[in-house]
Amino acid sequence: MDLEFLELTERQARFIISGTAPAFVNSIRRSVIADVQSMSIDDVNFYNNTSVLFDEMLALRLGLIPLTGGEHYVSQSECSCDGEGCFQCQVSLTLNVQGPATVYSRDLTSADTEVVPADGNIPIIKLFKGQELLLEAIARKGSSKNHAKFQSSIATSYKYLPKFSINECNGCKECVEACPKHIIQYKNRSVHVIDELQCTLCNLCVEACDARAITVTGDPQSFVFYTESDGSMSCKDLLLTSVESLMKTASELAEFLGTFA
Amino acid sequence: MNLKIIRVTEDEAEIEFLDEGHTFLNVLKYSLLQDPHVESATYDVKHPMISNPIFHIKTESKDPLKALRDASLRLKDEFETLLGLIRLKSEEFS
Repeated sequence: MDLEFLELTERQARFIISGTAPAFVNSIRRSVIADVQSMSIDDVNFYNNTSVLFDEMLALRLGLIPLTGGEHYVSQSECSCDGEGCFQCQVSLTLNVQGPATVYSRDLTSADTEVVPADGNIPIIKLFKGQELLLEAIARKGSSKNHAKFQSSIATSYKYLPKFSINECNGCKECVEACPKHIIQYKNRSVHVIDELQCTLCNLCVEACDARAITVTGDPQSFVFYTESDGSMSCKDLLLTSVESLMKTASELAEFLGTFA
Repeated sequence: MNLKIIRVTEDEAEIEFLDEGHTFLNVLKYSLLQDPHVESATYDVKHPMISNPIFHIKTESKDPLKALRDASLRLKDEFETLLGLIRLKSEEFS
């Protein structure tokens, strides 16, 4: 198995993983989407809301704000407090704004400086003159299996690594026209693919070619994997956490079976 | 790991998984099929809301539960390798 990063920032990751099978990469994809846990606002106590939105609408918006700092907490169900609520499984954030003003995610004040909105520029609501918002929000840790707000990843996907072969091109340039990604160019009496990784394996170039000069296949053992983070954790941590979760499951099964196999 | 062994013979096993879905079971099936002693490995979910997945393994001259254990260990190693690769290659990339 080999890995090569094409892109790696806090918010985006793209890599080629080779020497493996679709089932393996799919499990990683599913784990990144559903098994990674993060903090999100889960309960809101409204003390004053004279804004134009109902309490529950504001609560929904607050829940969708990505929060950092999940590494320091456990989920309520796993907590030693038995679901009562304590400093290990929940954290309080407050909001106190008078209009006229636009309320942004940066206006939330957290009791834990590690648990803050990943982005401060998310508008929550616009308050007009005389309107006020005073609330306490409780954030907890969960996975997207409980609620989509807990999902830390965005646009997670993978595709087969495209492989081209071009033989005896007659220069008709039909494939250059046909390619929706515009990655085929004609030069030196033959077509060339200028950015193979952009290929979506649509095969329109293959269909367009009368001479059957161009073929494209997806390597069934190599994949281009892409994911983004909503800011609640770095992309690297997102990948590590999801693979760790899969490794733990496999390890637990082996251990369970070891007791009587 | 929450599972129920419904049936096990010298060459067959039927197991019900209570807390797993496609995320783990599909790749477990892939790992089992790599074993030359495994004749067939499959899992079935009758209905996601009312039943749990049932895994069915058939082997040739190997204890099916041993085959399952070996498959999980292979997976553990592969995921561990991947973890190392992510850590190494991300360092190199920066």
